[in-house]
Amino acid sequence: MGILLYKDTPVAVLGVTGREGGFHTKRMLEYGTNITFGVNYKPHDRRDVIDFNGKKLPVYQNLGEGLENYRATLAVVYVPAGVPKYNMYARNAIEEALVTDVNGNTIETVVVITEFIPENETMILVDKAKKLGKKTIGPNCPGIITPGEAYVGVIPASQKYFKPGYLGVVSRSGTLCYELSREFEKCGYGQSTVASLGGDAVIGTGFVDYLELFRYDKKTRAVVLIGEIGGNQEQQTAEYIKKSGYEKPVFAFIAGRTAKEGKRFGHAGAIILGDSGTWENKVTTLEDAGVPVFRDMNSIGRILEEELG
Amino acid sequence: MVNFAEYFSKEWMSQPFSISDTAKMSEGFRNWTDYLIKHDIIPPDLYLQGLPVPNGRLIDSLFLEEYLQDVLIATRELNSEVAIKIQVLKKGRGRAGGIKIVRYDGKPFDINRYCSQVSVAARELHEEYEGPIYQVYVEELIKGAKEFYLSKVTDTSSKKPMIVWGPGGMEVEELEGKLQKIIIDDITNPKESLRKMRGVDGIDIESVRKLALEMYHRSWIFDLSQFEANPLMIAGDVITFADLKLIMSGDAVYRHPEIIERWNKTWKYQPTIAEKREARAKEMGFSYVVLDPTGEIFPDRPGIGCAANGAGLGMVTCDELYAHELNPSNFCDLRGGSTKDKIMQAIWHIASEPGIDGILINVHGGILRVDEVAKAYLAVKNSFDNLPCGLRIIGTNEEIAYAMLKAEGVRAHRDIGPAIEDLKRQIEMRKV
Repeated sequence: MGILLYKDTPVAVLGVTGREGGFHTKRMLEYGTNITFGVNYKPHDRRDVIDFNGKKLPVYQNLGEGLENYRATLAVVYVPAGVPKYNMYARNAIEEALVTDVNGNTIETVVVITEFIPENETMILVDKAKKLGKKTIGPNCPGIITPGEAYVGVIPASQKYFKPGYLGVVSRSGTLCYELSREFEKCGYGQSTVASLGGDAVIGTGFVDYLELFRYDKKTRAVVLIGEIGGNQEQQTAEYIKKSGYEKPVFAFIAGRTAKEGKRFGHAGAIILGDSGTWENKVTTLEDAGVPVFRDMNSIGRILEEELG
Repeated sequence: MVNFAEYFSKEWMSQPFSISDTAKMSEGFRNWTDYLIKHDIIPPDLYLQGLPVPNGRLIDSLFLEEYLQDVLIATRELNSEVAIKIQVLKKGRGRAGGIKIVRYDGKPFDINRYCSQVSVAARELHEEYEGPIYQVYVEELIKGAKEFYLSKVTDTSSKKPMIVWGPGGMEVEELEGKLQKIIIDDITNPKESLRKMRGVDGIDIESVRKLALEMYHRSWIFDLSQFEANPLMIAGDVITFADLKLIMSGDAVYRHPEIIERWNKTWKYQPTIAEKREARAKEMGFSYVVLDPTGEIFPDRPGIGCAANGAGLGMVTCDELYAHELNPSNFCDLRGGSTKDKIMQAIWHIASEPGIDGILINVHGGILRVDEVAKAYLAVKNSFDNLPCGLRIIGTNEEIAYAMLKAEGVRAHRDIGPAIEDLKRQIEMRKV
């Protein structure tokens, strides 16, 4: 089990004809993700089926056509943020995924891999998703993996350290969640689901939403949050854990201990503005809420063993 | 001239959007505006109106004396009292700028004397600020008005726009607690939420509400993540933006070529060496941050150039370097999917930073194939004159990479700790 993504979850790939979309669709199919169809956004691409190493994937010119023929509850978006030449915009693809409804056949979760979507556009889309009661993950996120079952996004799923287990992992950064998953695997802990938030300042699904999902997942016995400097999400999460009396043990790791104020490392969200974004503030707030924080990579195994046995 | 896209978060001095300018500019991005109009986020006619900003003009400081007289004559209604503003453009949140008010002290009015008075003040301002200053802005002085703070920002926790309003005139940090924060719950109908704004100091709140609405709509049109007026001057029923700060979200810059063109034409700006290096890296297609090349915090520690794939891993790499008493001088994000040539350029770029004692390459290949990293390193290593290098390589195509490195006799590690230790040893050996 795990959350959001299972072996039989039908997935639609938006932007399957693009460079990134095509490359990762092939890998997802190899891993065993149940991709039912792809959607093309290039005006000059007229293929209606693409062969991925023997598996023929139907391609449609819009999502509605696809949903008429196949079921899909999760959509993963590889469409670039804005290519005015082709009138191709990620926001249009995401909006389409949120609103399309063919006889009750709709997308429930939209995973947005695309980077560089302007903040204001994201705000509109997140608002729309909330009104429609749907989930958006990202933008600028590496995707979700339920080890041994399926994955969507750009995660290097074929790596051996993604192993079924009972740790739920949520991360703001992509490479860092691979890095820590490897560390967990080394210490003998597999993962139930490794999910990501996305590096942007405005994102659809936050730590709290994920904790809420992990709370009712039978397979997950503990949750690890991988945060970074900037914003105040970690503080809000600490408050949530305190208030809700969260039953499962929660651990945290915060990147950027030595980052300087005002410097942006590449994630739009990871920039310290004022006190609340600093490493110290995040770590103390989390520890006050009873969340053990890994100070560095070496302490991970020891802390996990002490708390979980 | 620097590309505006590099300096997305630079602050604008209060530059008026005149009616004709906004009308002209709006033609360029019809798509997005149409999208917003279609979704009832902005009323279709709103982006045609001007904002209440003081009269003024930007003058090149090289030709200050020549132009000043023209400006002052043209703005004779400035009433022999002007405010002079300068701004040192900076990245991030760093605020730097100055304002000086010049009042003509003699009678009768003599334009020459007044000019020299203004230019003396401008020179004084130049001396107060260390950064290079290329232009000054001379504008009319707003008199007899109270100062307030009004801004539109994005509230990342509720994922909604937010209007902040209250007494002003100081740095916003000092105002914390006195300001009203109004979250716009319904993006398409902000008026409902704006009704929650309360009057301060007996100000007619209705006119401020109107202005806040105007700022709200404009921040959609121009993709502003922040639209801040501090101070906002209110005298009776006359409202003026005495100083504005607009931050356009960097990802939306492509939608506003007109503004960039205008910005590049208007502003004279010489980037620092660090900014030039960062801009060069962006041209090559990877993000690059200059951290601490001069070793301000730890002058005795060796400076290390870092390359990693991903922002999170980069931050952890820097954290680990500090823990091992090394000083990260810069950081380069090798993006997923980079090939040998691109990675070669990146390694060159981090190694060519002045004052580098060694480099650390920390890759955890996902989309990035690490054999490309190994190839790139082997191709450039001989030109480095034995520059110490720590290699930590893991991920996609790991076996191929290790075989290649082994054939050339290069050590690489699967964990970050040993890689840094290795690098440290090499630096020590080089010192001896």
